[in-house]
Amino acid sequence: MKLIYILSILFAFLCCNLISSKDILADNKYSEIEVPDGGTIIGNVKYMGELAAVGLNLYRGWELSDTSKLNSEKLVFSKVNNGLKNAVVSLKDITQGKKTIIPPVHPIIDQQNNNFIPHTIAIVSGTTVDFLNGDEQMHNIHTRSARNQPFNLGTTYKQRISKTFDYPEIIKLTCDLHKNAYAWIVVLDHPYFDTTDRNGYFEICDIPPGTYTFQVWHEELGNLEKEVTVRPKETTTIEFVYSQN
Amino acid sequence: MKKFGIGLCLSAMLFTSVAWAAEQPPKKETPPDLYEGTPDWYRAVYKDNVGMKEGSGPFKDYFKPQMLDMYWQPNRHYEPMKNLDHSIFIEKERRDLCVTCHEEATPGVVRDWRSSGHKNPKSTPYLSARTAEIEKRTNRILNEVHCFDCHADTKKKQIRMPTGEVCGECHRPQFDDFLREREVGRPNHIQSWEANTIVPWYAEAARRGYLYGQHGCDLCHSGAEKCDVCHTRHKFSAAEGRQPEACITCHMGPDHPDAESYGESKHGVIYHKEEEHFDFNRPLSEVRPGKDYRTPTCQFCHMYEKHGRFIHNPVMKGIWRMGTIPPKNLEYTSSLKDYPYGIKIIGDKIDIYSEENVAKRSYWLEVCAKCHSDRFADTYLKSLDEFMFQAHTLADRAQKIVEDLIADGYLYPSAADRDPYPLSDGIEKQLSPAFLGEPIYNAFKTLKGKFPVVGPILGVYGMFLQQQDNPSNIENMYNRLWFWYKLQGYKGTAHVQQDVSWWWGQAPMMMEFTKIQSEAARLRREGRIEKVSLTK
Amino acid sequence: MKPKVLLDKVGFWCATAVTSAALMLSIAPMTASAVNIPTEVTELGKDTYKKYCSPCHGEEGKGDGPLARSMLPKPRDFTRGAYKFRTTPSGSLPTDEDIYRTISYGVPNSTMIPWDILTEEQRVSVIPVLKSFSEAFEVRKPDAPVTVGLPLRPTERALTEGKKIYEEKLECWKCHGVEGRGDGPSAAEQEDDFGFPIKPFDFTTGKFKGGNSAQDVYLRFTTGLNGTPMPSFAKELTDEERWCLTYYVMSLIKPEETKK
Repeated sequence: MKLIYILSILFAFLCCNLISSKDILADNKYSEIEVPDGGTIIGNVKYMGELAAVGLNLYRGWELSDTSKLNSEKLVFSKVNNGLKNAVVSLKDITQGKKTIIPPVHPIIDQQNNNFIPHTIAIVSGTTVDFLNGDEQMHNIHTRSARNQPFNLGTTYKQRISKTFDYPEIIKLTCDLHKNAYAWIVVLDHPYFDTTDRNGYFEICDIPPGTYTFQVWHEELGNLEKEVTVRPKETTTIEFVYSQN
Repeated sequence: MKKFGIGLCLSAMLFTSVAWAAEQPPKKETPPDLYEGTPDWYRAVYKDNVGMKEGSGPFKDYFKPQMLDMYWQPNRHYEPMKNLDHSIFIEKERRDLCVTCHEEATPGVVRDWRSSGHKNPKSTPYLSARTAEIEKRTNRILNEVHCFDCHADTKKKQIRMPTGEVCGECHRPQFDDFLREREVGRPNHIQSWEANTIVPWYAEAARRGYLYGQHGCDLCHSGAEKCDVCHTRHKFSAAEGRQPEACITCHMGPDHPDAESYGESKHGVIYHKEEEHFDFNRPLSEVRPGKDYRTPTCQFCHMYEKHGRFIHNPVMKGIWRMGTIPPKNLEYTSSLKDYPYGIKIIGDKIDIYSEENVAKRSYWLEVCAKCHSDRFADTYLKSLDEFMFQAHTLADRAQKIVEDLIADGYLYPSAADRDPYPLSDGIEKQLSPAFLGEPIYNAFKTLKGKFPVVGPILGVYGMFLQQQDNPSNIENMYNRLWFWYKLQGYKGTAHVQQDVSWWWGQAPMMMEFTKIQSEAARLRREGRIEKVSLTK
Repeated sequence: MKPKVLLDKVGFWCATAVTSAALMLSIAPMTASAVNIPTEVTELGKDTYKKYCSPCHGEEGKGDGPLARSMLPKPRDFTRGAYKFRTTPSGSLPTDEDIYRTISYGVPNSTMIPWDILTEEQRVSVIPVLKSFSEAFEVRKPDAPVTVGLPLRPTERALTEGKKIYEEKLECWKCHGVEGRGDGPSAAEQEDDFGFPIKPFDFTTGKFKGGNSAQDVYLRFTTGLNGTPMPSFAKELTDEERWCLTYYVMSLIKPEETKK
């Protein structure tokens, strides 16, 4: 009798597991394979919009362009090569590829001087992010996600809060006490992505050969897409240019 | 034990009989009815709720009401909201929920009510005494007059827009006083909706696509019989109703510049200067002139009835009746001598020296005598009479000029060549000879409105509707003379505002008169030239 | 033992038993465990929602009903699954009982009245309808409710401790103001998740939106208010500290403000 009882509980538990994992699978079409001859893509994301010239062209005329975007972290680009920082590059339609490694060392978003550092991170689903508070004052971390469980937690100095993001989603992170501070967490369901560095460079490796749609996402400038063919064990260079504002 | 039982029975009977006696309803009052004593058609036209489906008045089929008439004229046009069915709150009589929700939905209204006498009807000794009277009359305990008491139609299980009758359930003496406005007839507050709906030009304008152009008309003329016109929602303050500002939103402008004439008169200037020292919380009958009021307000003079009594309506003592109705005491040269031409719905000419009006004048003098000597006040009011006689004489002369011009066939464009009188087809169909008077009715029936109408009172249509060549220039001039400048001069003189009396009244009246003269001369000349050229 | 003493003793124990029973009852979170909450959307639920909820919350639960445009605060948009008043941790979906509680008790200082005017069956029937508006209820399940332990006694020390937390540790005053009037320096710029301005709560009015008992206030600190800038302090404060803060915040109520 006891055995049946335990078995039924076990069965019920399994059922639950099956159902919930099915939910996840329905979203995650990515499957892992060995990629022995993967190709690499390196590239650069550039911003060539109106604001790019600010600070260089002294003879633009009396009308100064709106520089409010420059003062925040909304739009950060290199003055040297116009490389755009904080853009997330990813393969859009990849269904199979290299093994997803969930980083054992948690990526960190720190709050320093009323700002989130880094401003944008891209992670693969299942990754746990640690939120720190490096300021000697109260902050809160407030996400507005729908699929990942949103949260709004108060943090004090040197507090560490860990949160796991299970579903692909672009999540805005804010601190309600400091309205200017916010950050972006881009959760993807495959490992083929990168965040551009301060000169706009990125690199994605071990891509199974084939033709893919490449996508760039930037909080202010939106999306760009480009079709790229990856050849085995070769490095392809591509460039994305945001020309609008 | 038996005895005990009998005793118990007896005492029970005694108790029930006492309880029965206590529960006996007091003598039943007839419910308040704003349209009491009016003919059947009147009730049907003004009272029966038709929602927004049709208009009001005899010409209801010719126009749909303005959307806002739902609020201005709720008896006739109110429709409960469709978005949220409030019937559940009324069925279950959940009084608390009204405030809980509207505290946030319309916080101003709720705070207003919280500061009103309705929220705390026993907050002051004076209020308590008045509340006790109402309690006695209505046989109920009033610790709070709630949203529910006025806004819930428990029979229809709907939200209603309260009308005068709803207020009258408790405030019966005021209601009955107000009802007496009907005794003196229009112009008054209680019948002001007639000014829009009995007259044909309102419906005609609607028919011609100017319905919403008459928004301004409806703002004053619909709902003037509702109490919240003076005692605004949701404070319904008596003190507010005693302040001149309660009147001025309507009582201003070219046809009755009361705000301007009183406001800029010495009376009004002193009021503005010392307003904060006025004690408006005092009932009018207890106001001590010179102490509580240093100068009279609109209400203090106009709501004074007689012999120290005040009445809750401001029209009872009126003699000149807005200045539109010609006096009997003059010899007229124009057709004004036949005023009101058999029309049954308008008052006859005024006999300034009738017994009734002489009595009214003595009541005015009673008010004036609070501060002025009897001789001064009497002289002032006599000179007002003289002003009015002269003004009416001037109007009569002007009307004579226009009428002669018409009689000689010099009106241009002629009545045959222009649009007929507003809604002539409807007048013939909807109004009866008894209502309009035989001669006028027949004129409409035979001529189909293709005839000129000049002067008081039907000639005023030109002030509200301009049609194709109707009225013509000279008729418009005359309308301005008698309906604007004469009335402005009257108010300026009556309210002691010299500038209004002269520059808004007498002076433009004379200028308009000479304009009419020269316009008439021009028309005659042109007409004669035309005739000569035609005969050649 | 003398009879009188015995009586006293019995009386004492009786009184203790009664009070503790009462205490236990009051501690028990307000749930509708007795009510049978349907799991499927029923016709009754749809009708009730359409008639009484959709005028404000909209036919599709987007908070855009015909009455919503002139309302502040705006009616809740159900599509995000963000519910303010829960017994579950920050960010979690509410339990059915939480939703039932809000429907039945209403939200003070808003046009959300206590809908106890509806029958229990009607109220309960709406819950699956509300949940059907948000995909969050398909993807996630509500976390287990927070357990409310025995409350701390509201002593002087607790109040002082609470004041310290309010003013120094958590800096609650930044939004809620030093006197708790909701007028702190950051108050004006607060926005909810739907982009509407939101006012920090004015404690002096004493009409706590999620309920006026100490347990309710404690729960707000512990669970936060989803969809608003109000975070959870479950990680920041110990259980004891949260009780201290609860009592301090409740001490900010001004009786003259509660009457309005």
